[in-house]
Amino acid sequence: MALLAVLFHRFCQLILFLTVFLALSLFSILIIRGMPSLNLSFIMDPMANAGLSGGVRYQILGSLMLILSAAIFATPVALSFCYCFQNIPQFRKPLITVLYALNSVPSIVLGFLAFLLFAVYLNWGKSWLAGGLILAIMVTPSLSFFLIDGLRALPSTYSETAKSLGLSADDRWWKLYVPLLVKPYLTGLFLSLGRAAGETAPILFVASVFYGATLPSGIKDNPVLSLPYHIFQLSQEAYQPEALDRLWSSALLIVLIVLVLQAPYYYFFWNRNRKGSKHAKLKLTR
Amino acid sequence: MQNSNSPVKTCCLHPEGRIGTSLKIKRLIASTLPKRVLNLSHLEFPARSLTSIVGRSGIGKSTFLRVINRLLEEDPQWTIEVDIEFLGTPIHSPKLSKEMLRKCIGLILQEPCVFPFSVKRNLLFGIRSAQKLSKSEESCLVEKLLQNVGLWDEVNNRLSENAEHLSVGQKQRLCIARSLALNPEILLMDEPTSSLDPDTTLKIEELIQSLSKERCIILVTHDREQISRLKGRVLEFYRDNLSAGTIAREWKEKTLKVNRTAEFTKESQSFIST
Amino acid sequence: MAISGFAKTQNSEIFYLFRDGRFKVSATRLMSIAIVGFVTLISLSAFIFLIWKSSDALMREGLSFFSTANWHFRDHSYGALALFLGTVVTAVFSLLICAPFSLFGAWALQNLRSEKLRLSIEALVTLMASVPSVVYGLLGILLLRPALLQTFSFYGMETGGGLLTASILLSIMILPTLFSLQLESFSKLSKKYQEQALSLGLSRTKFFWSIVFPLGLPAILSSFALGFGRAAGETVAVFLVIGRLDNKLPTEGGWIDYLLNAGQSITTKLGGPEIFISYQSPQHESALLLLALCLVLMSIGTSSLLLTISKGKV
Repeated sequence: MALLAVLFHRFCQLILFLTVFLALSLFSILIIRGMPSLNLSFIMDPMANAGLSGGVRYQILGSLMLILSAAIFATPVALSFCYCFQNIPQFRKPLITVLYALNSVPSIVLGFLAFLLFAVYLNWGKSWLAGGLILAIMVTPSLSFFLIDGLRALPSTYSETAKSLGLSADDRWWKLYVPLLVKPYLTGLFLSLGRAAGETAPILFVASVFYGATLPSGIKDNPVLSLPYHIFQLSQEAYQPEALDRLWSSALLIVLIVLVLQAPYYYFFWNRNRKGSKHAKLKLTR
Repeated sequence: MQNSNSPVKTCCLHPEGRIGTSLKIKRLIASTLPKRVLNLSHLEFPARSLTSIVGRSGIGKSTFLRVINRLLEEDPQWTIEVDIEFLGTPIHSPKLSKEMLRKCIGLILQEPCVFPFSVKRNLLFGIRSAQKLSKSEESCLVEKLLQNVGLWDEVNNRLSENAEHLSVGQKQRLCIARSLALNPEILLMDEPTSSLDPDTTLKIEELIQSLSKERCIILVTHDREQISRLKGRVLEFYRDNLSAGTIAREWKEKTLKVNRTAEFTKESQSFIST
Repeated sequence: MAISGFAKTQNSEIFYLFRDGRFKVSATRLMSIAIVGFVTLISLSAFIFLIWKSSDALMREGLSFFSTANWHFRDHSYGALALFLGTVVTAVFSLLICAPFSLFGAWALQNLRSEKLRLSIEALVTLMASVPSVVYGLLGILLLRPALLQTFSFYGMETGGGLLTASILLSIMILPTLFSLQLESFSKLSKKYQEQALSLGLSRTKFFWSIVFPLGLPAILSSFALGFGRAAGETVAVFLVIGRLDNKLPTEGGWIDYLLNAGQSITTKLGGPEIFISYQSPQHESALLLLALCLVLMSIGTSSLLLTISKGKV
């Protein structure tokens, strides 16, 4: 009996070892294959020869544009959700339901619906703005949950004290809560933007192309290049070695960008030993 | 005493200065289903006075304070029927908004609640949402307030530091100063010295005593020594078999003295430990 | 009377919704409600749109949509059984492959003595979750496919891409999710019961099987539901390795042939070129929307399953 116990224990350790080995090799392969071609000219040069040479300048810029516009649209929405959660107690449960519902929609369905709305119905063709909007919808639930949890973490006496000083609900919101929500906001924003930067499915149909675009000059028929879409397309057709090199570098680059964006989250929340564990679940559902 | 030279334009400026009755409670019934907790009537709190409220735990002293500054009505569990006049105006009258009333009545809690902002920002937190002051007016006000509560020497070089780094006693004085910034008519204090050490307690009691010369102070306390140190009225909240809820009565002079032959009610013996 | 004129409300952004000033609301509140309402309305209308537009295909195809593998959009026939099977099979297989790794791995991690090592491994696994799915797809194409082709070509695998490849890739992708959730559950249970159990003389293994696993079952099951939902909804990575061949069923050549060779799932169909041409034919569009609706319902189903498991027993 004791032998079985020890065997099981060893077995579990073996499994863990294999898992860690898998994770390490994942990152190692990315670094080993991607590092050689990842240099300054790769980042700064525009693409040439349909991806066989040149760099990924406009892909990076395009991705940046997409996540920036996502941030601009998602922020007021998340703040509004948080405000309504705080100040209108009757709406709390429905609001959370809406947020969970939005969060669980598969990204490809979002992309499909976005295509029907923006590209077909509104006749925008492929547009960067559509990409920003749909990414904003993806980012909003996560950001809202960060804000709401940030609010719940505040001591309840803050509310009582602020009320006793004669502040109205709006005064309390702008003068007390919003300044205190800056930190959860930034952490949540960067975490969500990191995820959004790596998403391909939502922007597949509505915002991104593989070549031909640089920086947009309007809304309609103004797609952008983006890093995830670039990798997506190139990986389907890559047989030449130069393309392969660039593919690995692009992959490494996108992983680095995502990690850099998500670094604040890891820094804060790891230091406090997984304080917002409810969020950990929400983040990992996608 | 007119504060005509102070830029703080708050609420309570009686034309002749503070006289008369600050707070008149004609009827105060607060219940949380199914039982009635408070059943007070005919209480008056004159201006420039100090009233201590004593009673056993759970009898409703803190609840009483929160009825006065209209904090309790926001809690859906409580049903409140009151007829209270603040400076002659009923507190529920449309002329007087909740926010306005709360600026004229300050509340100090047992655990000093200080926001994670700078000392200066904490201090000016209430007044900034009431009126716009210029930079010089603000610094003047900050200095005056901190001098008033005895914090100026300790804190004047730390005004932009996070207020959470202050000691508990300093925080409590900061909270009092913060409420004083609004120039309130009444200061409600819910066991302000319970979480403080004896020395700080004495300092704050001195402060409270001096404040009671200018404003009406209603102080809830458990500390028997404190009651005897503070010069003012003492109200006892108690329940007897006939009353539905807590009622109040005033203590006579002789029960205040630390006197073995003093007559204590049976009720009060339970919470005052000799 | 004693209160000066300053007693007027200082909140300048208040609107009066009714003429007599009875009902007032501030600009902030109005805007927040408007924004939240707008977003909710859009989401709701999108869902209604989905149902409405896809009802056409449902009525036209009826049950054959779910029971036949007859997807030939040029001939206007839309039997999506192969798609549903593809999604479910890949998701279930990925769970089967991943579950033992995450379960036993998490248990081993929980029992590691060194706190530092524990945190580092936890961090590593969580970092795995941050990797974008397109990078996983890339790894699948460039590494997994050739490796599997080498191993299984004897058994009939033709290109290295297929349902098995997709399952393995998905299992790697959902590993961090399952791992974190199970680790959290094990950690909580260990904190609560480990000292008692060990001092009663139980071995760690016995502790696991008789206490941690039964008590942690709700959390484990809900992590499975989460993993299933994630695997079923994953598009890009699966798209790149599944081969994308329509209308394949295990009845034609046996399960081994089915798994080892190319197939199609709902998400890869929705991620493919048919979307671009679908607007030309309303029936096609309707069929695709019906697929999307089924996917959404599956996600909602797994989410609610999750909520009921975690609320019901924890």
